[in-house]
Amino acid sequence: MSSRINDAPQPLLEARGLTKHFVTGTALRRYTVRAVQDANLKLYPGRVTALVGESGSGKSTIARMLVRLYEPTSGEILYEGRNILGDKGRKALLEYRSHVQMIFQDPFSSLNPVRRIRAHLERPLLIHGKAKRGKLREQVNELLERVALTPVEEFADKFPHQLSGGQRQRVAIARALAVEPRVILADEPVSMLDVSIRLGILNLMAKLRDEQNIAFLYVTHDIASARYFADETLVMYAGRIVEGGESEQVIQNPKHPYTQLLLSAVPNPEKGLRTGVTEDRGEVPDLTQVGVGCPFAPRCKHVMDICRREMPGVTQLSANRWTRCYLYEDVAERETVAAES
Amino acid sequence: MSSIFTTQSIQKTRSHALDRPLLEVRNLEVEYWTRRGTVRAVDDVSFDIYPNEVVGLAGESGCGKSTIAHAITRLLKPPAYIVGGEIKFAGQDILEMEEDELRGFRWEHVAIVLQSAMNSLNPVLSIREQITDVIRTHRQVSKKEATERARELLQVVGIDPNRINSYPHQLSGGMRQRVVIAIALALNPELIIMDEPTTALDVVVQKQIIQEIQSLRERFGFSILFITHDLSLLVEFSDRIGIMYAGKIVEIAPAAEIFAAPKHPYTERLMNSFPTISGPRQTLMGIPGSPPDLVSPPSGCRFHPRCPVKIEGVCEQISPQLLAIGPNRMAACHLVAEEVADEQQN
Amino acid sequence: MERTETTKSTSPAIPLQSRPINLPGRILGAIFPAWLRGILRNRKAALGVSILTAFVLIGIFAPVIAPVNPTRMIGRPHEAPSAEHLLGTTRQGQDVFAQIVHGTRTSLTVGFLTGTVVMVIAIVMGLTAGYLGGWVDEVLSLITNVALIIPSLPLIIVVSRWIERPGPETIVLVLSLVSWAYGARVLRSQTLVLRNADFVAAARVVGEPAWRIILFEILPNMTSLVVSSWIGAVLYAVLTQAALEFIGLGNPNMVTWGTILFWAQNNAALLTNAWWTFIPPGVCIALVGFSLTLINYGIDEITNPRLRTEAGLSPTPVKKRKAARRTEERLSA
Repeated sequence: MSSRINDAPQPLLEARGLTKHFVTGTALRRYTVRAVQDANLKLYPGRVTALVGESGSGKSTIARMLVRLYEPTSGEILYEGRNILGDKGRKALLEYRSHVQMIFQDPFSSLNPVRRIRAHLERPLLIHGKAKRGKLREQVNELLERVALTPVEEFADKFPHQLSGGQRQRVAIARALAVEPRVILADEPVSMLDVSIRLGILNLMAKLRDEQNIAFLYVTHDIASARYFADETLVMYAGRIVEGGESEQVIQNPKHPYTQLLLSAVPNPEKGLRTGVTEDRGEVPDLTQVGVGCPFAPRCKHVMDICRREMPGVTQLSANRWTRCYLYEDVAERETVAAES
Repeated sequence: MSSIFTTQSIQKTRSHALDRPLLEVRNLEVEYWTRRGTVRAVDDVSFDIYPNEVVGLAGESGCGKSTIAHAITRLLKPPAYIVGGEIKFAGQDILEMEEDELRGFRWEHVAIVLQSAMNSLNPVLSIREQITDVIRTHRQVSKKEATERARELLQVVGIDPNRINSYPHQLSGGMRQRVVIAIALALNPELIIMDEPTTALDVVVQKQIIQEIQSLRERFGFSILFITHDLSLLVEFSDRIGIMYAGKIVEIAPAAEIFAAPKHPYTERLMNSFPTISGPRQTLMGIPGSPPDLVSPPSGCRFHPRCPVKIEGVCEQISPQLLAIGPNRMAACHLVAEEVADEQQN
Repeated sequence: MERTETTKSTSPAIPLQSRPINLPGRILGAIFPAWLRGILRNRKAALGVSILTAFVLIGIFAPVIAPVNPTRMIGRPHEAPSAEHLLGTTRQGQDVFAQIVHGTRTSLTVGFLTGTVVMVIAIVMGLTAGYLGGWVDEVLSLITNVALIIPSLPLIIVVSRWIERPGPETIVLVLSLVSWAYGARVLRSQTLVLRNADFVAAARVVGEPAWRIILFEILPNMTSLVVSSWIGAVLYAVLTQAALEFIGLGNPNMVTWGTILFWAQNNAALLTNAWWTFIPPGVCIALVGFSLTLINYGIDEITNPRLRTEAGLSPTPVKKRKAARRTEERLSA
């Protein structure tokens, strides 16, 4: 790996073969939920990577593994090229989280209802030793200013329930910014907000990306917002990342049949009213039942025998564009290889 | 199809002409009496729904759109009270009805599908029991006939009738919402109110369900009041759209016209708050500020604190009236009213 | 309170903030913080708090209210109530009023102390098990479940027999050790819910250590549950203590409500019709129990808005084809 010469900048945070299985059920009947399987992604400074998928596709699980709220079942997480999964203990975690922070979906539950805004922002400063003696108050004010919650003194002493959803999400962003992170994982940061204020939050994050060179992972179910905000888009289905590339390319020219289905279902008045009939009647598979093949195979129009037997590998379509689908790789060649072995 | 249902539906559709509104809402006012003060959640709202028409209501949370849905079916619970206006269904005043009459009216003439409904199915009763419940409450039919009808309804909404004995937890969210739609269709109502029926669902399932509703409407000819915050979806699905802000309708017009040329500044900004998957990729601004707290709504036009084109000295003081600004089109905005007046002079 | 506001006001209710500020109000505000005022606004809770406060005051000022030594013989045996002895005398010629007043102190102290110790154990066990999960949870839950299935009253009786004439301290200890498990279970399950709240995940991401998350993030969000469990524990302790002493398992030389009853029983007060020796302590125990229960009901109503609105706001009940209307009502609720 290290010997490979690459023009591209080194990724700040990288996931390799990240897999998470949850074991649930009773002692008598255990189920394994294959929430995420073999996920690979790279986050670069000053770039937003969107992870798009339906509910239950595993996109939030990836974000939670990356911030080390969940321990991966297997795979590697590399920060600046070093696998950090071996680092145990509170000190190592603190160190890691001073670089990698997270914003949660629901600003109504991600702030503690019994604590003031100021307390939410002071804690990360104190914990990570960023607080300057006698300047804590100013530092909090400065954070609030950065997320445009002014007049700051007024907001600092409020309780979360006294703020609107958008304002709370700004507090959550300020909290993440407090440790001066280089990576922010945003888990559906606008999906609970009113339509008219979503863009305000996305624009704020875009500003942080541009001005502070922060690497963002933008987890969302709204592919249109991914097109708006993200430089690169990854599409996830039932625990697998099935396609990735520059956002505009993925959205204008989707390759994987699932991405195509997803895009055909997005309401899009621009393309004319009441168009596009989807024939699809399928449902997302039960994640305790997904087997070895491609999870989309049961609903796929182009399904082939091999799709049910084995998950396709990555097919590089162009420099920054890839998909995992047999339609784009030389199936015949694979079949013969499989037959020989 | 069992005969009782077909005859019923024919009688229903014949009972009023197609060019007369099925539902007339006039100057509706709904208040919430809360400890913090009185909130006028719906303020002087008027609109019509014609037979076989899909009317959409869009707006952000707290704009009063769901309150209207509940008011039409008289399902409002204290502290919400209807304090003024009229709601007429086929000429009959719903607000005058007694509890007994209402029970015959709801589901029979107007059915409602709520966002939460798919999670409100009784977990310990099978789908069959829940559909036949509704049928047998309103119709004197045997269990067998009701079950037959239930199977038919499942078929109609795209669920395998053999799953009739399933329990809600055995079905996915999308299928449960289909069951709720089947129940809404059970008595062939003339109007179905759908309050965010697909918001909790994934976009692919949403598409499936919307298409299902579309084809059901073509087949049975009911009207729909469709309520959602998702303007793109509404534009695709509705014939006419009303845009609500802070308890008032600020613009109402045919869907295509609203999409092509929104008139009210709020409509325009709201349209511009949705990133699209086609067209140019440009910076969108959303709408600065947040929707007002209706305990103390802004004076004058309720949108003026967030409005980029407000007329100083006018918009803060005078509440604009909903005026006709074209055939079949109305808006409540001083600026638009001026423009229309100018055009008429020229 | 909510009810009266909504149904009576035909004009818009005045928002609380806009009411003119008055100085007495401010002083009152300092004495009664917002949460207490919230509780007192509930009629049941207010009644409960008043009764309980009265008893607490009696306990605190016992030597002032009844300067007579409750253990001294100061009159003839079984004297009926009179101006001199408000509640008469016992068989030993002790003043019953003084005994009740001084007994209040011991009984309430034991009650509150036990309640507090029980809650401390329950919080430590329940929150630790719920938050940490894994094997810690399994071990702590096992201990909790064992403590839960041990029949507590027989155990208390055995222990009390074993330690002869246990004083109040011992009763506190024994009662605490056998009655924390229920609270721990309740708090554990609530912790399991809150543990998955985003603000807990956010605190972890920020780097808060586990003990801080438990004490400062989770615990403050279950205040009402803790308070109501605490009140329940106090109630249980007051009643159990009285019961133990009544059956003679306490130290009969101490003056508590339970021992007053014990002596009354021993001295055949029922047969001799000396009602003043057993009715007053009985009434006191009942009143304290009543007040604690009222407070708990009140807290329940305050924290559960559903109970609050259903009291008066729901429309007239409709009977008729109940079973069939289930589905419709569920779907349109």
